[in-house]
Amino acid sequence: MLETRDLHKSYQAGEARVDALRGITLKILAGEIVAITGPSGCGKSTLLHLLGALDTPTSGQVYLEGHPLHSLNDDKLTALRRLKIGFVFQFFHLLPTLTVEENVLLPLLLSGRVNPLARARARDLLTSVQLADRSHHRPHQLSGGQLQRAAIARALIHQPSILLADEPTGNLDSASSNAVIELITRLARKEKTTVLLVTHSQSVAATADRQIQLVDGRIQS
Amino acid sequence: MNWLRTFRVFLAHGGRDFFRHKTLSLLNLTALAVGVAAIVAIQTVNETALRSFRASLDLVAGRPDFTVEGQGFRLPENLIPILRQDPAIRELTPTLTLIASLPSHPGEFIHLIGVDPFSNTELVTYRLQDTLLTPADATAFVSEPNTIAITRPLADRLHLKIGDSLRAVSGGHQANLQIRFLLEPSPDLIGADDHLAIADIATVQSSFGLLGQIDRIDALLLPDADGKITSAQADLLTRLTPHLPANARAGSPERRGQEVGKMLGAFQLNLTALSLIALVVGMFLVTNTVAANVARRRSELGLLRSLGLDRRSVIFLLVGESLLLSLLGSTLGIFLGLQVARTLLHSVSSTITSHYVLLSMTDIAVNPWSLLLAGLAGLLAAGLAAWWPAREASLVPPVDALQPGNSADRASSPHSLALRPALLCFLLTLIFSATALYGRIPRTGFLAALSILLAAAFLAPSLGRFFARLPSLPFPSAILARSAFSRGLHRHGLAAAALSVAVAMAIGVTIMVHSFRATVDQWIGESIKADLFIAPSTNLIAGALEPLDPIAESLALATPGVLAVGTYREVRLFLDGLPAKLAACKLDVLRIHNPLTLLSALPGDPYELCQKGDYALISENFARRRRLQPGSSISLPTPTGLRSIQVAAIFRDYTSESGLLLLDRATYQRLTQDQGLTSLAIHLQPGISAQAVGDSLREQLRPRGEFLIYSQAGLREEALRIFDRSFAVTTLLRTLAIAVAALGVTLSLTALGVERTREIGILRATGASRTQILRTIMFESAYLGATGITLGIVTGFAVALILMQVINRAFFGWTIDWHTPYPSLIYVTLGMILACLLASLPPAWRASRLSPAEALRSE
Amino acid sequence: MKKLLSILLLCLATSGLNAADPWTHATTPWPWSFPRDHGSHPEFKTEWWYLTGNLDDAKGNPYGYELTFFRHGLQPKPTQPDSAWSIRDIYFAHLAITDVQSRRFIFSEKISRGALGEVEISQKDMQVRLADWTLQRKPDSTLQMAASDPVTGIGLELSATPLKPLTLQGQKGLSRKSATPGNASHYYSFTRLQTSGQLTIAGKKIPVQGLSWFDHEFSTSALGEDQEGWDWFCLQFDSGDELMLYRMRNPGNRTDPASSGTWIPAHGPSLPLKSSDFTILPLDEWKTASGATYPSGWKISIPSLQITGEVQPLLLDQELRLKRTSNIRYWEGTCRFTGTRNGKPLSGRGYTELTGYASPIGQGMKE
Repeated sequence: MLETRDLHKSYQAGEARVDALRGITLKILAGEIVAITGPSGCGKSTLLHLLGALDTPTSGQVYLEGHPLHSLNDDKLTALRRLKIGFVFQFFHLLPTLTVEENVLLPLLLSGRVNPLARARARDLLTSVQLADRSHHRPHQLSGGQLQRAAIARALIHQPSILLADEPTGNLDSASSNAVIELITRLARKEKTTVLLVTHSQSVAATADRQIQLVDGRIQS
Repeated sequence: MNWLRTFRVFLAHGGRDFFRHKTLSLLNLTALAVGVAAIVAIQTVNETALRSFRASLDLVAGRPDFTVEGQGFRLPENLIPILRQDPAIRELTPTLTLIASLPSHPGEFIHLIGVDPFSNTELVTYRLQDTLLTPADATAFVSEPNTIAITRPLADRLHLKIGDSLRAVSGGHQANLQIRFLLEPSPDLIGADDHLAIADIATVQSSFGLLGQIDRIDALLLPDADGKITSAQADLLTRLTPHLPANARAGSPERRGQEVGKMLGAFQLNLTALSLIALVVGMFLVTNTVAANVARRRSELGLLRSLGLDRRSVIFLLVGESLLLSLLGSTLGIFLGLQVARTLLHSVSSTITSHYVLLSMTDIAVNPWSLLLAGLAGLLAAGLAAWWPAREASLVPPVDALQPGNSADRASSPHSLALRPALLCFLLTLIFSATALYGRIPRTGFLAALSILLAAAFLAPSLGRFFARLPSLPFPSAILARSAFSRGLHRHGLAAAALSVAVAMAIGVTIMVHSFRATVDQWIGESIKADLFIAPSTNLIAGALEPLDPIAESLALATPGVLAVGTYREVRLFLDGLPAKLAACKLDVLRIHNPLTLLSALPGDPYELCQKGDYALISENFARRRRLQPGSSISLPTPTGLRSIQVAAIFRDYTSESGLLLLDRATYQRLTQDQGLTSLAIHLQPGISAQAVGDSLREQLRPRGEFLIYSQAGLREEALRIFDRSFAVTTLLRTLAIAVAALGVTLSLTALGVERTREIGILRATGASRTQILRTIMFESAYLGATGITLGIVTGFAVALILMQVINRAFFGWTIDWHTPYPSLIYVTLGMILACLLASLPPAWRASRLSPAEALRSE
Repeated sequence: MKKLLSILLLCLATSGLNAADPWTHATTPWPWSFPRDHGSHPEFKTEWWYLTGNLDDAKGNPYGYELTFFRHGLQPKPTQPDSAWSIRDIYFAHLAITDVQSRRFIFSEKISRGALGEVEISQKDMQVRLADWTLQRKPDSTLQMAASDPVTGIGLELSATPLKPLTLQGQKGLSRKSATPGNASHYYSFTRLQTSGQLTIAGKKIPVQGLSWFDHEFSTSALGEDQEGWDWFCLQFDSGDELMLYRMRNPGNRTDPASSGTWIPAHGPSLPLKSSDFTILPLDEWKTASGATYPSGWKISIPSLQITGEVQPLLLDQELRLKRTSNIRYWEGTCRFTGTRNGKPLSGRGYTELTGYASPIGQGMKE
């Protein structure tokens, strides 16, 4: 369902040219949970951005369910993100003025699909992430683990084909980390969502179906 | 702690920061520059007005040690022998001044000064040049009769050269003057009126029927043993006073400048206050930018703090940086201001001429001190504005500052809603209004206006919060914008405050000007009853009060169809140290054909009282400023001595800012010996065409010189034209403040855009489209605009109230009826909304163009 | 005889000798009648009362003074007679004091149109006043003068009593200035006046006494067309005699034949001198700061009287640099004479006047 071919990405950082990705070819099957690991600066996040339709490659191809992400314009990419992709970030990033429930509904809000059905789904999801009693709280009233659980619910609300998580446990203690990873795998399996986890934690990576290790912008086989 | 070294590091950093955030820094710079420019422009124009007046004065009178001047009326020349005998005087010279129109050059005039070239050699600052460009002496100047010297600019403009003759008309007298010399002012007298012309005093006296009269005597004194003349001036004044006529005013010539300063004082204060508001608005913007700057550079500050920089240094560094930026902004503002001053010059000079004194300004006079002062005001404003956010930054614990995270999340939100300071400012408004109205400190009226503006500024964040709590429109962008706006109140609060101040000022001034205009218009409608008006053309062209050709009155009386001819005479003088106008009318005509709106009067018929004895009618503002009632008495200095005049009645009038003292013509002539008239009001019999009578009079008067003949509608138009011109500068300043406020909207949104880059990235990642981001930011701007504009409109009404009921009353004493200019208010409001939307476009566009991946990477 | 005013006149480019000239010209001797002729003659264009003198203070320190009143007619009938400021004549006065001891020469000037009583000049006797500068002839024939200028700190209050009757210069008082008839003035002098009173210098009053010389001259057109200026001398000898000489300078520094002089012996009638009777040779020169060059020191010989000697100025710089009238400059200063008459020593003091050397006057002269 997700496939890349000889993916390259370079940046201009001042005078120097940084080659973040140097020919990534991979294939991820529907329903798979894949962990991308590697040391800092190996290109994990860059890869995630390319796979998540946030950025376009310098060269090479990315296909998401057959859509050639490398050749789509911004509007099409946005539409894909809106419909098929869910994100979980290291720093949670809930909008502080919206309630937890509103935050969860944000992707649907942006695509104008907030309806009673959607609300019911949001409540279900919040129940699944054990935040049903917190749905009308504001983000600043929640702990880190709770925030990340809410973020997971937000990432899944629109039933994306793929969930991209960028260091989802990077800012959490180990108890919360375990809970979050457990939640992601459980919900992904339940919703049949493909998951791509970027992490440098071996214990987190170990929970995945498969690990892809990146070193210096290349896949370490 | 080595402050300087740290400062250097910080500066290097700050400098780079400037270029990294060019837009923000440039906006900030512009805001400050516009604020400073407004001050510079107004100061420069004011300065130019005074300087130009003095230069014209100095050109003919030089810089005497002592001056005797007739106010309102001329002086008898036989004062001169008395002064000559005084041992303290070593030189003295008379001048006799008039404004003459030039029939062969319609619309032009000369400001003719009769001088004695033999006694003024030590005082004059001009040179006379003949065709060979050789300087001429006194004897050459008087050796042929009717010799005149005019300035080169005037000669060039009228295509006149040495040897030509020039017909000049004044007060029904005509003279054929021979141009034999050009008048070259000394180089330090730039700005002197180029209408100035010099002739021998004998020529002026005998050609224009002014035998035995002079306007002023300028004298040089002998210094005392210490080389000073101050005591000599005082002693001389004591010795002379018993010999001087009541209308003569003697003293040091600085006094004259001070009086002109006083006359123009209210006018200039008005403009200065408005220009300060532009700076205040600019100040809000600087605060905003510095705050944004601080937020963005938290981690940097945290680092410096953790490395040992103390709190005071943090403040010092941030304020210092802002000062450096404002140095650039102020410099820019000074140049901009001078440019603005140049464009304002004409309008200000004609306003001053029509209301105060004859003035013609050609180029601005730049006073380096006022420029420096304006620059310092800009620096001070920037320093003050930076202080608050800098202090706040200094209070953040270093550990917190070093923590990663969205800076906007952590920026302090306005928890203290500043209701208390708002209340305090409101109280101050009341207090200052009271001191202005009842404490006889008119200037505090401006403080009242400032306080109400500040109260509004303090309320802005609360109102913003209130708006953010209202349910939003059911669009995703609107919902997001509401959330963003409420979270951005730490920034938007200030922008909204600036906006509300600008809007309040704009609305206040709009209502005031409109009400004033409507009041004046209505009053003109009620008070201008005559069908035709005749005045010498110079009175319009030059704003002079030259007497009308007496033939006009007899011609008018003899014209068939004329029912009655009212006369009007007006002179300007100082009464009890305040400028005033003394006027005279044929009250028998006035009472029947054009009765005044009397506000209060002595028992009996006030018109009759005035016709029989030393009674006067005074205008409302004259009464208010001097606290007079019917029955009060006024000491009137006249050529026949100091006369005690009783107030018979108070009437409504808008013709003079300084107030009007109206006498019956007969009383006036008896007291002042002045037979002159300033204008005529002709009442026609029913059914007679004003056009036809006007044409006939125009035809008959043509050979006598240039006259203005107005119909009723024409006069009304002319009055309103002068009114509008007087407020032209006000309108410009209003626009300037709005422009600065709109800049503030852009600035605020840009700052937030920079702060929120990452958040925009998340929204984009979550599926927000570019259009949605664009719309969100425009909606946010709408929230900001709504807050500022709503508050501004409400405050604007309060400002209008203060302008009309406090400042106007305290300074001028007019009654202005409230007229709400609904269409204008709607235009101003719509204009502001449009300005907000336009202002939001650049930052919105910028945010929508962010690449989501890069936005996510940034921190 | 002093033609200073003629120069002013020419400078001012006013009318000269034209057919419709409304002014009276000096063509025939004047029917003198005193005291009336001590007063003003407004039918003539130019008139002056001119006093110079050499005085000593109690310690014998020498001083010189000049006090002159000029009347210059602009038009015989004023054009604006109804105004108090209407002009017929312009009046000037010059005051100069030389303090030989402290090498100071200080001068002052006044100019007036005479409006509102600023100037009074009688047509009956010598009663001249310009502001507070006065010259009056008292019933006892004493000339009383007073003038002061607080700005420059100089002043004088002197009375001068004639020791000799007045001398009519030239031909019965008709003094020719050039070959052209009418270029002449009516001119008389008091050549020796016993003078006493006080001078004021730098605000300090100094009692003085000594001798003065007085000229009264009126004319309409005195100067020849191409004359450049003149050198004029009045000398009062210790012997009781006086000498007046003037040399009119034609182009090329040539002496105009109309130059002349008068010898006034201690007793007896005065003797007119023709230009051929005397020679005046400059001995040295003095350059002003402005670049003009004046002669300084002269050898004078009058063979017919057997007089030779040198005139030396007591101070080099005695130039009046006037500001109020087109920067007119002339040199008028106290001098000493040393020489012989008939082989016996002859000495005396006097005044010298040099005009036309500083450029503005030269310009005016050539008109």
